[in-house]
This record gives sequence, C-alpha cells and structure tokens, in this order.
Amino acid sequence: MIVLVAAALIGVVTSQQGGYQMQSQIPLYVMGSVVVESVILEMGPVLTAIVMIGRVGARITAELGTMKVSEQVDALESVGRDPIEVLATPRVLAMIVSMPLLVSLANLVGITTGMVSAQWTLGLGSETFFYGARLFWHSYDMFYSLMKALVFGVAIPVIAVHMGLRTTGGAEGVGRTTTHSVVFMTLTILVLDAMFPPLFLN
Amino acid sequence: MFVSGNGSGPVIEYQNVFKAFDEPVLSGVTLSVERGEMFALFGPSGTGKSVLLKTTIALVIPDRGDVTVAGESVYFGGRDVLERIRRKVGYVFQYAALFDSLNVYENVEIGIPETILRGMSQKEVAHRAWEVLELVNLEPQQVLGMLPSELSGGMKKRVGIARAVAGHPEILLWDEPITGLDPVNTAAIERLIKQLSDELKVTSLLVTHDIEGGLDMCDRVAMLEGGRLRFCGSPEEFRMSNDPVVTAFGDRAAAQAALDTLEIS
Repeated sequence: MIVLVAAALIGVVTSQQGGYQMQSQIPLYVMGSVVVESVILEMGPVLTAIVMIGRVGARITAELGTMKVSEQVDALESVGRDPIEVLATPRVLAMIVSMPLLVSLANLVGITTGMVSAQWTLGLGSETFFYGARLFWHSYDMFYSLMKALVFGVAIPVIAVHMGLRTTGGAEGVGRTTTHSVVFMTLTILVLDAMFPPLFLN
Repeated sequence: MFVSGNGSGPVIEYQNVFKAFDEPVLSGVTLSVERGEMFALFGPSGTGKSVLLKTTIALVIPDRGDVTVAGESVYFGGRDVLERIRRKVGYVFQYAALFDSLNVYENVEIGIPETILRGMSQKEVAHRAWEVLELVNLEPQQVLGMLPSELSGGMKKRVGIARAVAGHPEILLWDEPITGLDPVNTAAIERLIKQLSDELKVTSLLVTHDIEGGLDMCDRVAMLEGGRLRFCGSPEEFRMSNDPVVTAFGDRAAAQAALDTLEIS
C-alpha cells in the first residue's frame, strides 16, 4: 500500500514538474516520455526499494537482532538448525520474488497517475501522452527496471539479515543496529543505483 | 592436566580453553565432566561460566583450545560431528530463549532433532510434546497452544526445559536455570533438575549463582574466577575449602541469597 501511494505521488510530481519545465519551450507530448522513462528507469525501483528498506529491511534487522540478543538464535543452533537456512533464506527469497512484482506495480501506478495528472493540469490527452511515451520507448527499459528490482531485492534482505544476526548489547544494541542497517541499506541502494547507468545503459 | 572426577569416564572435556571478547574471559580452562554426574559451575558474574558452557556446542568459538563431547572434538571434527554432538546435548537457556512467534507445542517440537523428526508421525510428535510437558509439571492441554508472551517466567523456564529434553539428550547444559525466579519457583525448578537428571540418567552441567542449591544437588562442583579454574572437587571439599577466594565467594553468595529471600518476603 505504501509502495502504491509513493508510486502514485511520484507519477503526479514528475508530471507536474515536467509540465512546468516544458511550458512553451518543448512540445507537451514529450511529457509522456519524461514520466514513463523517469518512473520505469529510476523512480519506480529506487523509491520502492527505499520504502521496502523502512518497511521490511528494518523489521528484519530488528526481529533477528532481538532473536540474537535474547538467545533465540543460539537456541536454534543448539537444536541443530542452521539459522541461515531457517531465518535468512526464506526472507531473502521472499524479497527476491516480491521486489520485481512491487516495482512492476509501482511503475504501472506511477505512469497511470502521471498520465491522469498531465490530463487534468496540462490538458494532455492520454493518446498524446502515449504517443510521446512511444517515441523514446525501448522494451529494454522494462528489463532494466526489473533488473534493478532484482538486485535491490537481494541487497536489502542480505544486509538486513547480516546486521540482525550480528547484533549485540540488548535492547539498546537492537535499536543501534537497526539504525545502522537502515542507513547502510539506503546508501547501498543509492550506490548500486548509480552503478546501473554506466554498466547497463551504454 | 585435567581436573576430573571418579565416574565412568569423562563425557565433556574442556582442554585449555581461551576466549577473549574485548578482554580475556576464559584464560586456559581445563576441566572434565564425568558421564552421568551432576556438575555445578560457580563463579562471580562475568567470569566466563556461560561462555564456557556455550563452547560445549560451539555457540561460542574459543580462540584457543578444544572441547570434546563423548570423545569427539567440537572444533576439529567437522560439521557432521558438531551436528551429532548437538543431537546429544539439550541446552537450557538463562531466560528460556523460547521462539516468540511459535506456540508452546511448536517450541517443544523444534527441540526434536530433524533426523528423528522426519521418522515420526504427527501423532508421535504430539505424544512426545505432551510427555515432556508433563515431565516438567506443566498441564499440556492448557499450555500447548499458548505463545511465550502468555506464559509466566517459571512456565517459560519449564517449556525451555521441555524443549531441551524433547530430543532424548544424553547431556543437559543448564545456564542459570533459576535466575529471576521467586523462592517457590526456584525450589520447584531445582527439584525438577534433580528429578530429570535422576529419571533420564543424563549428565548435567549446571551454571548457577545458587551455591547452596548447587552444593545440595550436584556430585561435583567447580569455581571459575577471573577466567581461570579456581576450585574443582566435591561439595564437601568446597564447604571445607581453605582457599580465601572460594570461602569469600561462598559467604557472599549465601548472604545475597538470604537478602533476596528477605526482600521477596
């Protein structure tokens, strides 16, 4: 839900801001391309990842951190279960599956709200909007977006689990580790995001 | 040189175990526990008792030294050996360490090693859970579906014990089993430890601050001080010890126990 709300607002903002910048200078149908490409290449994957860091990554770190400091992880090992297999693998797999789906949904919602917003505020019809979008569209862009989603979907839970299982120092330690984890996940996503264009858009 | 008892051969052997976190915690502990005996480990807080207990099944990895369980090395035997050792050992954690998201039945079920669990029907697992909960004096019908957050401290400890014995262990490791309990629950848990050790014929290694309880229950006791073994012998030898550190610790602990009782009543 939070992902969808964020995606909807991204679409509206991109469309509004684009319209403002293009007034009387560039044909308005270019708006279609600006919204679609911004959402698919950048905003959809990155903002979905940021939302997932706060919603899921922080939760994973806090949950596993609490399990670590309350000796539940030790208890799991003491009965011969591997914490990586029991606690980490399902969380990483769930994120790998859900991130591309969420990013696809966020892209769809972002483009739709961008189109509706352009229609209401700039008087840009949906046919003109999609005409502009098609002019600069490459089907590879969708693959690029999903590839980002997949990479972010691996990075977030791996960092969250790693930090959670290294927690020490009781309740204070859980709070401290969760904060560090969120900061580290956010920076990692931004760095990975910055590496994508030179690696995959040339 | 090992400090060992006169039982039927050592089942746990700590060989020159060193461990430091920021500062040294264990500084070359060598100790052995005989098969079938009840052994208590005393010592001031922060002296490495729980750390030593955790090295028994590699929950803490020593910087140097080795631990053998039933003749097999915990650290040099490989993954299969460690898994085999863990199947032989039941570990009772200080604060029970029950899994928050699992109910009592699931918490007990997870104590049964996977290899055994695969060969059991659902009915047999339920029967085993029922059996061990009765063994720790809990009413299975009442508690099986409850979450840890719905249990009292004493009940959590009992469920933790039930989980530890569910897999038919040969060795039970008890980490401060009575910490945080009132005198009534303390007496009940101590009686349970003794009863379980007698009925299940397991080797018990008990880390505790309760000196009187430990001396009454156990065949042998040891004391760690500053990460080193300060004393090892029978309860009588501990009581009669002329070592000023052992005597001072015994008296202080007895005084603290009396103070606790006064405060509670």
